[in-house]
Formats: sequence, C-alpha cells, structure tokens
Amino acid sequence: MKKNRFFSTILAILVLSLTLANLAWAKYPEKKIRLIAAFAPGGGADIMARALTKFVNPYLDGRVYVENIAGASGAIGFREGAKAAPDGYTLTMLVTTIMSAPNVTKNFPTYDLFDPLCIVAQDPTMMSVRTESRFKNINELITFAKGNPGQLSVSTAGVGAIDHLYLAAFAKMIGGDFTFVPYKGAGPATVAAAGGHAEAVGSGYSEAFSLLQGKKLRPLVVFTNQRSSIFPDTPTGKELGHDLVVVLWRGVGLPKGTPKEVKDILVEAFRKATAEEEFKKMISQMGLQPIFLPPDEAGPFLKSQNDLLKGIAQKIGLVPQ
Amino acid sequence: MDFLSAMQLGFSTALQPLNILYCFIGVFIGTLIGVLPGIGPSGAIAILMPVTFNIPSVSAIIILAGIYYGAMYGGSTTSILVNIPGEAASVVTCIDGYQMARKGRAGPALGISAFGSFIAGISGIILLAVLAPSLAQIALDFGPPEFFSLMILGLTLVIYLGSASMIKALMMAAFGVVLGCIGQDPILGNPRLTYGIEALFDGVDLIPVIMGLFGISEVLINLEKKEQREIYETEIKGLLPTREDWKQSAKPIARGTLLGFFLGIVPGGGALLASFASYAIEKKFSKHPEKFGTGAIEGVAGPETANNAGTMGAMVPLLTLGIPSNVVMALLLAALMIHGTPPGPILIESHPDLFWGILASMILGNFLLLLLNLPLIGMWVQILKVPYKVLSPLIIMFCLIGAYSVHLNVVDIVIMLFFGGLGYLMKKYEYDAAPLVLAFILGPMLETALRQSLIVSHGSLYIFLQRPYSLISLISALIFLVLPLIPFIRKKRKKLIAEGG
Repeated sequence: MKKNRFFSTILAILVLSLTLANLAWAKYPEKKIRLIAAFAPGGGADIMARALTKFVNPYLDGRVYVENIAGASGAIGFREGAKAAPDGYTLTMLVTTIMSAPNVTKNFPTYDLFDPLCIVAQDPTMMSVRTESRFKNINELITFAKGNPGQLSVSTAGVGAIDHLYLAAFAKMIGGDFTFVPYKGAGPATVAAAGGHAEAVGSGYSEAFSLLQGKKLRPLVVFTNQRSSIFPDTPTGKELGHDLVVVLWRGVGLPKGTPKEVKDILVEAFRKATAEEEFKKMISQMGLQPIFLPPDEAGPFLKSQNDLLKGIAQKIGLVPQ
Repeated sequence: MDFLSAMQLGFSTALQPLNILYCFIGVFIGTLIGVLPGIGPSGAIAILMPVTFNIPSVSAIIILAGIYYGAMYGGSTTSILVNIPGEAASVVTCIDGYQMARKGRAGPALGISAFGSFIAGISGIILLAVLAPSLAQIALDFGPPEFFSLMILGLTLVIYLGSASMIKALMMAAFGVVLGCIGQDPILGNPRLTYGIEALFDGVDLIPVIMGLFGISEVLINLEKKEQREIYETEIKGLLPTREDWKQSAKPIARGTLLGFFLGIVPGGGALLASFASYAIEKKFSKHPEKFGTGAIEGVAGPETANNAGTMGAMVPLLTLGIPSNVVMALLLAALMIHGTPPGPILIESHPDLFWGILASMILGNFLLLLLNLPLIGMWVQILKVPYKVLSPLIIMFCLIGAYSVHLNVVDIVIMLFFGGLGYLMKKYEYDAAPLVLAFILGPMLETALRQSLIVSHGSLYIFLQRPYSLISLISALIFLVLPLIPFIRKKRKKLIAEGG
C-alpha cells in the first residue's frame, strides 16, 4: 500500500509539472495560427496564402495553416478576419479588392478595419492592346479616344474593379471617353482583349503575364513611377503628363488591437520568409514583384492607395449598392 | 517536332517511375473524390498544391490533372447507383443511369461509363496533341456574341430533355433561369433577389441544388414505397455491358467524343454543355426516343463520353493560351505559374517535355483508371444489395456532408434540403429536373454574354448576325427548334389535302 501511494505521488508530481511548464512560459505561438483567405481555392489570394504559409512556417513553429472562407466576393472572409480576437492567432490575407469593392457594395469591410502587418508583393498596372491592334503606341490610342468619344471599348474585370477605376481616371485625364465592357475577373478581361473583342484592357502585370509573354498582348502604357525593366519601351503615365500610379498589392492584416510583442514576432517571421530566394523566385514566376513593407510603411501606402481609388470612384459616380 | 518524336519525348518523361507513381496517386485520389458527392476536384487540388511545390513542374501537373480526370470517371458512380450527381457534369447520367441500376443493370451502366470515358480520354488526348495549336485560335475568337448564341443553342436543347409535357419542361427552364438570377448582377454588381441574405450574395450554388433535386428527392420518393424490391431489382443482371449494349452505344460514344471535345474548347462553360447536348442529340437520333428516361444505355454512353472528352477539350485553351475554362483549370494554371512554366502560346516550344509529358501521362492515367474502375464495379453493385432502410440514411448523410463541404457553409445544406423537398414534389407531379438545371447553368452565362455584347455594339442586335460562329449557332438553334414541328406540319398538310381533295 505504501509503495503504491509513493509511486502515484511521484506520478502526480510529474504530471503536474508538465502543466506548470506550459503555464509558466506561455510563448507565442503556442497554438495553430489561421491565415484566412477570403476567396475560393485557386485564386491569386489563395495561392499567395499557401505560398506564404510554406515559407513562414519554419519561423513560426509550423503553426500557420490556410483557411478558405469564400463568399460575397470576399466580404465574409474579410469580416471574419477583422472581428477575430486580436491575439495573433488569426491573420487575414489582404488583396486590393478590399479597396475596390466598398465603392460598389454596401457594408463591404474596409481596409482600415485591419491593423496592417506587411505587404509581401506588388503588381504594377498597365494598359495593353492585342498585338495586331491598330494602335501602335499610346499616343495613337489617345488621339483616337479624344476624337471618337465612346468608340474605344475597354474590357474590365468588373464594374468598380480596380482596372475600371484607374482606366476611368486615365480616360478623364486624356480627355477621352471609353466604353467599359465588364467581364468576370481579370482573366476573362485580358483574354477578351487578346481575342479582339475589346480594343484595350487594364490589368496588373501578373494578370496578363502569359498573354504578354506569348505575344498576344502588347503593353501601351504602365502606371508606375518609372519604366518597367521588363518593358523598357513602354512609357509611364507620368512621362505622358498624366500622374497616375496604381499598384496592386497583396499583404497580411491583423485584427485591430493586437499586442505589440506578438506583432513584432510576426513581422520578423514574415520578413525572413519573404527574404528567402526561393520565395522571391516563386513570386517573380507568377509575374509579381517581391517586396516587403513592414507595418509603418504598409499603413501609409495602403491609405494613399485607398484614398486614390475612393476618389476616382466618387468622381465617376459609383454608388455602393 | 514531328508527332512521333514528340510522343517519344512525352513517354520518356511520363514513364519515369516517380511520375508513374504520381499519376497513380492522382487518379486514385480523383476517383475517390469523384465518387463522394459534393466534394469536388477543386478542393483536393487546392489542398494538395503546396505539396507539389517542391517537385518538378511536370510531376505536379501529372498528379493534379490526374485528380481532375479521375474525378470525372468517379463522378458517374453515385449518379448511376443512387441518383446523386457528384457535380454538374454527372447530372445527365442520373436520368438513364439510375433507371438502369433500378432494373438490375448497374453493372453495364458503370461499365459502359468507364469504357466510354476511356475511349473519350484517349481520343481527346490524340485530338489535343494533333490539333491544339490550331484550336487555340478558336478559343480566342469566342467572344460574348459567340457565347450568347452558343447558349441559345444550348437552351433549345431543353426541348429534348423533358420526357413528359413540353409546357412543364419550359416552366422548369424558366424557373431555372430565375434561380440563376439570384446573386450579384453580372454587369453592375448590385445584389438581386438576395433579400439581404449575405450568403445568397454569390448566388445559389449548383452542387447543393442538384444534390437536393436528384439525390434527396429520390430518397424521399422511395420512402413512400413499401418494399425494397420496388426500388432496386434485386437480381443483378450481369456486371459488364453486353454485345447488344456495345452495339447500341458505339455511335453515341463516337458522337459524344467529338461533341464533348469541341464544346470543351469554348472557355467558360463549354464542357458543362457537352453532356446535356450529347443526351439531347442521342435522344433525337435514336430509333426509340421514348426509351430515354427509363434506362436507355445510349443516355449513359453519350453523356459520359462527352464529359471526359470535354475535359480534354478544356485543356486546349489552358495549355496553348493560358486561359482556364473552369475552376480546376485555373488551379492548374496557378500551379504551372508557381513552377515558373506559365502556359501560353510559347509553352509547346519552350517546354516541349512539359507539354508532351503531360499528354503522355494522361494516356497512362486513362489506362490506370480503367484498371481501377472495372474491378470496382463488382463492389459497387453489392452496395445496391444493402437493404434500403439502411442505405437511405447513409445516402442522406453523405449528401449532408457533401453539401457542407462545398463552402463550409451551413446555408448550402439548407438549400439542398429545400431543393430536396421541391424535387420530391416535382417528381410526384411529373416535372423534370433536368431542364431546370440546364437553364440554371446557362441562364446567367447567357445574360452576361448578351449584355456584354450589347455594350460593345452600343445596343445593336446585328452583332449576333455579323460574326460567323454566332450566326452558325443561331441558325442551328432555329433548326433544332423547328425540327419537331415538321412531322406535325406534314400531318396537318395531309389532313388538309385529304379534306380538300
């Protein structure tokens, strides 16, 4: 009897000490971290989320996993991510849609519901025509547009989509008037232009990647600060006297109020993950530009882009439905 | 390079031991996914994609593509056995396939389905290999007006889908169109018919609807019958198709292959149309159209073949232009891009080993699938011997899980159950579900294409007549519409002549 009690006491002490060890040094991360992708599997946001997960997990004890919460063009997933507990266990994949959709849809979650963690990739925007197009360069297109209001058909990724917004702004700047034909996403829009069903299309570089490389599409102008190294002969909007810089981006957001210690650990993890050569290579192969913007830079960047897009939407008369 | 050396290059890649293993894993997973209702290949591919990041591009596509066409093979299983279509493409197989199962002919139905899929797969790959570059241009040429006219042609096929009254078929089609309107307006983005329910913002999803209309409703109707014997004929009449079956199926398979492949090339929905079109055409060309709907093997052979051929056709715009025709193709596109081999016009020249390797591996995959599926027929047929009072709760359980798995949203289950009840009423009063499904799929696509075309043409309807493909489709639609009237007109003429003379 005495021996039994002795052993069970030792056992109890051992078991208790295990739990004590967990309580005493509670270190982040200790449980699974979900990275919400607000879209269905296969989309750009989802692929980026999965790629990020692969590269950031070594720095976060392998805790990160992707959870797809699709629906309402991302509203359901974004909302879920914004109102989650700010304990660092819910991250949300953010994409430029969060800045365009609120202009068209009532009650769509806005970017400022989130505390930005970082931007991990950027996608410069451009306007392209199909290779056999009658416009040899951007000036010819501008001349035509000015002289023939409403005759230039431009395919867009949808009403209120980002390319619709910046091309509408561009049209106003050059004094022209485009006819926008909405498609369901950048994919169909670029294909339509390549097939000649629309005369021009606006898109991020990555969205027109294969068609550009396959010489079915030809870029006419890029909306960046300086010329792209991939298209050295394509002028920027700025060079033509139209100051329009729009960048598509992908990043990660946290619910507001996340403690600084947790945020710092996450920033470091993502910084190291995105600095890896493998990651940069993968991003470039998708046509995106690898970049890392930590919170203090991401915040102002996001605000400036959002204000730009919101301003354009209001000017062209988009009303949230 | 010429065809023979291309095939040599392809097989030397595809027959590497690791790639054979990947192919097998892919088609095996695909078959499982296809058999389970609701869960589709897109989910599996998305989850497995990160696993493929570290293996070479060819191997990644081999395994992912294997899941896709494997699922096509497996999808017909539940359609035939228990009237639950696993995905849109399998809906048509339910119509006659299930009736065959009820008559104890599940084996031949499954068999002809497997063989037809095999023939379609191999033929599709050969067509793909030979015609891909020239066909790529067709995919590009298909713009909104062509699409609209094709959808009109598709909708006229509704006439041939219904078995009972034409009025009822048209009513169901109209209802399907209205259902398709729920969700965001395709051009302006404002919500329509959503009544403020956010879950309806993206529209009613197809999978819960078809699972409810076909699967749940069938269980409900069968519960009214008193004995198991009235549901499935317990004597299983053979496991494989007979010579008679083959004779009847030969032409449907041939037509289905060509129809499916060429429809599959149309980006954005051609492959879906393929099985419906095949069914309608087989019914039209059959010597005994009244048998359709009661277990005619042509009604299984044609659509199943068209399905698989459509899969191969869908690969044409993907591999040659980088245009994905559906969600799964988009995933494959993403996988190709992540591996640094973006598909497009230059893929065949810059990465011939990738292109031909994928094709050769798909040939291998089809053989593996045939070997996998044929022995399984014996096993599947045994399931039908399970007493219905045990089978039906199991069916419902799988349906519930399947519906939930689509978006991990409870709303889908509610939708499925609603349509289950509706389907039950429809069956009782003899309203066909197939026209509803076809219209539900085609309606939104047609509306989008119509409005896009009108924006481009600034409101002129002439645009539909000006483009060759569009004009051809519209004329064909007109012919199909008028065709049933001809015997009627003849009779009337005879009557008039008899009375007059």
